[in-house]
Amino acid sequence: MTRARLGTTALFSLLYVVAALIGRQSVVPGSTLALVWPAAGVVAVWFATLGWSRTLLVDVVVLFAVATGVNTATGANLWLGLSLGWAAVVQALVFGVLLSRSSPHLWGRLDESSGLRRLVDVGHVLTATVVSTVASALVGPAVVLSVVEGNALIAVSWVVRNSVSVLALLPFGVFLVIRFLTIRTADQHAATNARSTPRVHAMAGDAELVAVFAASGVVCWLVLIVNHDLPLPFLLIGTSVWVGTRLTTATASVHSLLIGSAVVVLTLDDYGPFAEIVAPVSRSLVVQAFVGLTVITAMALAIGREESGRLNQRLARAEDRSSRQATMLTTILDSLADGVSVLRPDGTVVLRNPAATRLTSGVAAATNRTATVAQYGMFHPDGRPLAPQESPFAQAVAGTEITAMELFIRNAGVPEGQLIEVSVKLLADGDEDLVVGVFHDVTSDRRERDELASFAGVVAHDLLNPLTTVEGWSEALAEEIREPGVRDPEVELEHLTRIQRAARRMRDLINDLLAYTTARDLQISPVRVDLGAVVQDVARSRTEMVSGREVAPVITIGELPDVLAEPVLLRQVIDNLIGNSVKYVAPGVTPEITVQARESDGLVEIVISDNGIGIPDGQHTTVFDTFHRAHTDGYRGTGLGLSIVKRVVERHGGTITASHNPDHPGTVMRLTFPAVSGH
Amino acid sequence: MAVVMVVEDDMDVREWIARCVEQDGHTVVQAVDAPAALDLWAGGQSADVVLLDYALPGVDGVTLLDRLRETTPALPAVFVTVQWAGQIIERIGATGAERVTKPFEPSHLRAAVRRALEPSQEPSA
Repeated sequence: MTRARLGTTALFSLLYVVAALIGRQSVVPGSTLALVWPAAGVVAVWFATLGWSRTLLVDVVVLFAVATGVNTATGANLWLGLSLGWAAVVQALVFGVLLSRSSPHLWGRLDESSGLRRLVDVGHVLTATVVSTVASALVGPAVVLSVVEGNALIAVSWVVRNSVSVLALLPFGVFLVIRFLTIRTADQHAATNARSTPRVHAMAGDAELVAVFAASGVVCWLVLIVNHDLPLPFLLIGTSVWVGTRLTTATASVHSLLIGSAVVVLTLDDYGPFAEIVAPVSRSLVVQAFVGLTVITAMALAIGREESGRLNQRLARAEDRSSRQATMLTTILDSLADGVSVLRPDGTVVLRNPAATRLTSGVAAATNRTATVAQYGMFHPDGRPLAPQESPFAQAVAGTEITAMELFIRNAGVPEGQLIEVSVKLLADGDEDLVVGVFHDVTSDRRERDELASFAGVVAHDLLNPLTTVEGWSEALAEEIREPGVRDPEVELEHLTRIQRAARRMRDLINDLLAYTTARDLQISPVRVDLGAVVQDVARSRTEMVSGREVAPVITIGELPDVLAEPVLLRQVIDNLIGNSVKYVAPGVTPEITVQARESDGLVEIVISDNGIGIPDGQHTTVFDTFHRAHTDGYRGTGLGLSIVKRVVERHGGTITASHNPDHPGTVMRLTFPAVSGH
Repeated sequence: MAVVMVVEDDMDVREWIARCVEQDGHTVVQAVDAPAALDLWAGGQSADVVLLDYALPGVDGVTLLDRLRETTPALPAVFVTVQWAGQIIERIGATGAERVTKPFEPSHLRAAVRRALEPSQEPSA
């Protein structure tokens, strides 16, 4: 046993002795029984505090010893003292067995969240108290005394006296123990924010507390001291009702204790109407009954009020929580990009979020009913109109769950049409069935998917063609080498040239694909770039690249202002355009290229003119499309160059156009980049 | 032996196809794209079988075949293409022509040409 545990046993033993001595002072003249027996209440609090534990046997032995000792010391003979000790032990254990089963939180588990908190606890305590006191009366000296003195009221008085003592002291004792434990816990965990159960505060303030106790004092004085004859003690119950309905359970327990003590003490001193009852046992019974009634009334009212208060608080919190959840759900639904609608099978709308209205292009919002297939403008993805019975709503009502059904919707709200993925399900919600639909706009997803498939197809085509050349002409070369007879180096060289050309094409395509990806994904951080220097550098490099039989281009560069651009991408654009001007010239023609620029409205317009073969009519816009090739025979290209240029220019916020060169055959490219001065 | 027209915009591939077919003793006529093929046809050139790519610049292979069949119905054809998916395969399939996938084994191409020529040669044999 710990020191604290021993201290508890010692403290309650001491309290028992004090309470027993007080009880012995209340023996009614002419009776062997004390009027009150607060020691019974002390035992109830003592054992309720400790609960069932292995060391409880020590407390049982101590209780037996102390009860025997104090009774023997105050006039009882040894046998009577021993039987009173035995009776006290029986009462404590029977009380424990009953209370630990009916209200376990009151037995050994006293803390801030337990105690007398429910009205049913009052009933459990009352039952345990009465049954345990009856048991102690049956096995103890009360029955013996009743038989010896021929007065059954002695045993009854024992039962009532001990019961009332328990009822009067237990609530107050439990309150004190919990407060003591709470203070210790708070000291031990001062740094942590300990769990706190919601408290129901008394409805009254301190002024009312003072008023009710003052009024109770006055009523006691009037009823018990001034008045002797009139049976007015019931007025005291009025003060208990006041306390019970307005103040806390703890205050009610204190008030009951004080009222009970006043009645007992004054009756013992021959004050008040109860002192007028001549028969000592009857007087004792009436006083006990009165005190018991006062305690039960006050406690039942206070505990019942606090319990209903807590229930109301819980209800209010639950209402608040569900209200906040409803608001949150509405906010989530409203902010969803996907459309959600809930309909009844008859087509009336229960719920529809803004996205649902937007995805059906406003048709849905016209009424509180779902629109028809024709009103929505619903089609299959391949363009066939949807039959009314094919609508996802109709199918769901018929019991078919629709998962990721693709629909094309085109109506006045979306004249260009949009592709929507719809999932619809019939849900049984209590009494009525509901149809829940979720709409997801997949227009851009499908477009990107198709574009990607097309892109992959073109890349495959443009890689597999040169691969066919490599494989085929390698085989032809092998055949030439294996062929018996004189080998022709010219033929073999021709085969090798084809293979090299194909390999270059594959390399060019892969490089352009990488450049295309860079143009699309590279993080652009525009800085001031010397456009003139970039063009000079590209021109020099293009001139130096000319091999033996080719003609060197003549590149004329005007005055070029600085621009705001990503340097790597700007160079890629200029190199691509000048490269095209050099490449796409008629055989034998010297490429003549002019690069000029002018600045206006915060933009620098760069104009690149050439004397090349030009772009065929009708292709000046499509020439910028991915994989578009204006010239396919005699001029190698991947069809990616100008689409890369366009993408880079547009990512810089500029534009690019192609047109005929008005001066002579050729092309004029006009592109804009942000000017330095405009920013 | 038969006259084979090869329509393919990639010169090296076209000439490789021609070389493969010539090894079986056929005469090959080459065209770089649909307009060139139609010009040859309009100029009186005929062929027993047409080998053509689908992805021709401007006018695709199926459209070209349809045009050629306007004057020569049931003209045998073999598409020499990369592996395409979806609607393109369906369009090629609808022409009744066989398809040889690039890159191809020369023996596969020659076998396809022989199969394409068989129905038209049987009646005259």
